[in-house]
Amino acid sequence: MITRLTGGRIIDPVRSRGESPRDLWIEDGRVIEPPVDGRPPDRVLDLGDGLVMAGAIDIHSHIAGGKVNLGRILAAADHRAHAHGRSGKTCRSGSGLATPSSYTTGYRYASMGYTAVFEPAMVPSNARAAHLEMADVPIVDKGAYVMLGNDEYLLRRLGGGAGQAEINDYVAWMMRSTAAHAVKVVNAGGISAFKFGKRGLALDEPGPLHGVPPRRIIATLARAVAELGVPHPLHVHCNDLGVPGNIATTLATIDAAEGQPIHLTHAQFHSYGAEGKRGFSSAAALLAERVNRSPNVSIDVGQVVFGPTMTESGDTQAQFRNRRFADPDKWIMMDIECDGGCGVVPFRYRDRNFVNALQWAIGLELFLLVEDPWRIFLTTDHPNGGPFASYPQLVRLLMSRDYRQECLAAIHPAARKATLLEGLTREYTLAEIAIMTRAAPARSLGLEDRGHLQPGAAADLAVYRPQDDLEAMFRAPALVMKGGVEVARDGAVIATPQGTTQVVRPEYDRLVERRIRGFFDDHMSVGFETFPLAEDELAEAGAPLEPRPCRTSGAK
Amino acid sequence: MLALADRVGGIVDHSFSPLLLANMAVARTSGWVTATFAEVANRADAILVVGGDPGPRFPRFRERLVANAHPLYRQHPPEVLYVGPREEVLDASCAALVAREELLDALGLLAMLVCGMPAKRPLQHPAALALEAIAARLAAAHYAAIVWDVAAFLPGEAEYGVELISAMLRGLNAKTRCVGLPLGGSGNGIGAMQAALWQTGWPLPVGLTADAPVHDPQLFSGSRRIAAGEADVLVWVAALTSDAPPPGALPVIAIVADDIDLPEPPAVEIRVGIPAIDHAGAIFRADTVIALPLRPARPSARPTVADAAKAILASLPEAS
Ligand SMILES: [Zn+2]
Repeated sequence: MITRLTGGRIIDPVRSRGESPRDLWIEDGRVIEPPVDGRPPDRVLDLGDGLVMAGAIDIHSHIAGGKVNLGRILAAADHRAHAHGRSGKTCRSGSGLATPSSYTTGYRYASMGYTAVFEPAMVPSNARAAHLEMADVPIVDKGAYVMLGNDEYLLRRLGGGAGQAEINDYVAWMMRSTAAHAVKVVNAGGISAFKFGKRGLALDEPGPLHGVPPRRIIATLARAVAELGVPHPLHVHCNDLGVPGNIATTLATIDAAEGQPIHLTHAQFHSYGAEGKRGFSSAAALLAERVNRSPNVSIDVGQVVFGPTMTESGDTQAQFRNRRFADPDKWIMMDIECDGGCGVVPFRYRDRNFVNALQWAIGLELFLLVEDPWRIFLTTDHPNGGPFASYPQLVRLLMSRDYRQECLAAIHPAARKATLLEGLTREYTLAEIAIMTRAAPARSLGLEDRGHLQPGAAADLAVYRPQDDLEAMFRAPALVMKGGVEVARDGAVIATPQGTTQVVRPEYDRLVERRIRGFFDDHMSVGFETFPLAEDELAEAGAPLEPRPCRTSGAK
Repeated sequence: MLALADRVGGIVDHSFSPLLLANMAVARTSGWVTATFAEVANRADAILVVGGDPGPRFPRFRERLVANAHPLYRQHPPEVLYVGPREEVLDASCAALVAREELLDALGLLAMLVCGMPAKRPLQHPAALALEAIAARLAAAHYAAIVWDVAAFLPGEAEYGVELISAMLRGLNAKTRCVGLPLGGSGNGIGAMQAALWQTGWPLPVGLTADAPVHDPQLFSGSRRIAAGEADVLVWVAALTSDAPPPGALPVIAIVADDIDLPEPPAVEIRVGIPAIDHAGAIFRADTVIALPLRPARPSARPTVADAAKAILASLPEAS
């Protein structure tokens, strides 16, 4: 069946920076060239003067895995306040804003024009459970980053003198075993050190037992990811999250990558100085300056949004430090299977609190000071900085200086004085928003047929109705299509097709399995044969694999 | 089954949920610190067992968690500590033996000692010396674990007992490391709980009302509803366990494994295969993090529970 979309103004920055009025032709879920044989379309949809963008892609959002269920356990008020019954022919009931239930997550993302979401913190031992949960997130495509860098096997092999090639093989084995799309490191070595009773781990401090410093973990993993040709660079949650003065660690982490591609996630939480009489200041300008002159570096922001939320992180050291701010006062920590951990702490960001207000401003400073929209992505580190449902408000903050000034006037006065925000006049253009939320994440993740609307692209798209209220415009697109299927109209979900699981499966030398097998047999509570997800498990769960190729020109 | 209940406005519960609810209630109101099996097996240098010998219900407890051959991080087997009924003598280096009715008193005193709260001296408890020794060892351990099975508490006492354990865990981690390991789970009750959490946002039992999913352990208790006859129909699912539906006045749709004897003929009987024998699946471990794959042992044409639920869903008239 051929569908022709007419009348839309297409914002597709991969092709041009402006808007182009052209028809879109769709067949079998893909954008096609207008048929030259004069075949008439089976149906025509008139988009009015709607603005058409490719489906948005969230590069970092905690939507599944054990930590989210722990968050749901702690978030009764969130689930009571934001609940819906089943609706229409296909929509299941659900609840939650900060820790939405799985179906609700898919519906809400789709209704906002998102068609792919990446879960960034899959603990290896939790992979099967996380994928089962992601399979219940409808409509959008999903993918997961496997968390390495605190796993006993890696640390002991690094301590034991393993070479880069052996680590590469292990990383590839791990990615395939856990059906991962990319590799993330969280507080390198720190989560493991926490289990030994250490409450922090500096970048050059030897870790317990194996003596491996975080810098070496990051360097080795960044190189492994690059040499394997995994499209997305090593996704790094730096050490010292949330600590005043942590900008030094963050800049040193960029150095640690030794020029390899590196992505710094929720950079807002890692852009803190320790100046001023409160000992807390913005260092966003320092990070932005470094990012601007380092083409190997990309960041996502992890913007703070005022209001209640849940913080869920693999970084047990940071979460254990932050437990004293828990609101309400309850928290859960978990040490996981000699390969990771998680800490879940409810939190409320307040605009009249100096630190929270400055965190909010620091995020916006990063957005406005990093020049290249291809290397900065819109995230709230959902739900750690705030729920993903607040993205439309963030877009408005980026596109309207007036609205920004209005919000700035309401925050803690000392924070207002401590931020550069007042003087930052930049306003994002629609093309820049399209890059930051579509084209750039697609390119970073190696999704060649996503993030744009050229022939061959997946027919994942959102049509926005132009209006003065930018927040309303981005909250409820007039039309959202996933794979050519109309899935939402005016913010309401009307169909719920299943998305795929995006995976990258690098090749490796099977010899490495001998040593891994021995490790599992001797020490782990799950057998070597049981640990990996089988090829058909995800298809059976309803989220079939969609493998993406490795880059062949990886730096060898 | 959740989808089916959602469609018809039903309640979902698991026969094991009453046992999980005490743990769930404490996690929801206070939080805690826990760890998975491999972490305890490789790292714990002291293990405090609360309430009774896990051996009878968890036969591999000692072999897997205490006496494992190749621990990664400890040189010696962990010191086993015990607070529990004197009828269940455990091979422990330090034991506070009490009557089962006195378990909460003993735990309360231990929590005070562990958290450094002032206690009237000399301590007026018959097991005071042992409790003081246990508190000292927990504080001195590099990585202690507290292990319990909710079933070991007297009815009605579990939640308070687990609350005391949670207080100890929070207190001990201020200075050293100590983790909780709640044992238990059968019939994949943990998996049912996890799936309900992610699909509805709530633990079991959950009522899928027209407006929203609602969690209410009393109102939506499956066993209470069955006993009181407060439902239009009971859909009884048993594929992993071999339980027949409990007697009651409700009409029954039984979706049960082939090998289950049904003493009373149900209104509708659907026979399904058994996971790990007839078809694949996944089962969650008690530590909630790890889902183990179940792979079929024989080729089978028997339907799964999900097949049955989908078929029922498909045959229901369109919702208006
Ligand atoms: Zn994150």
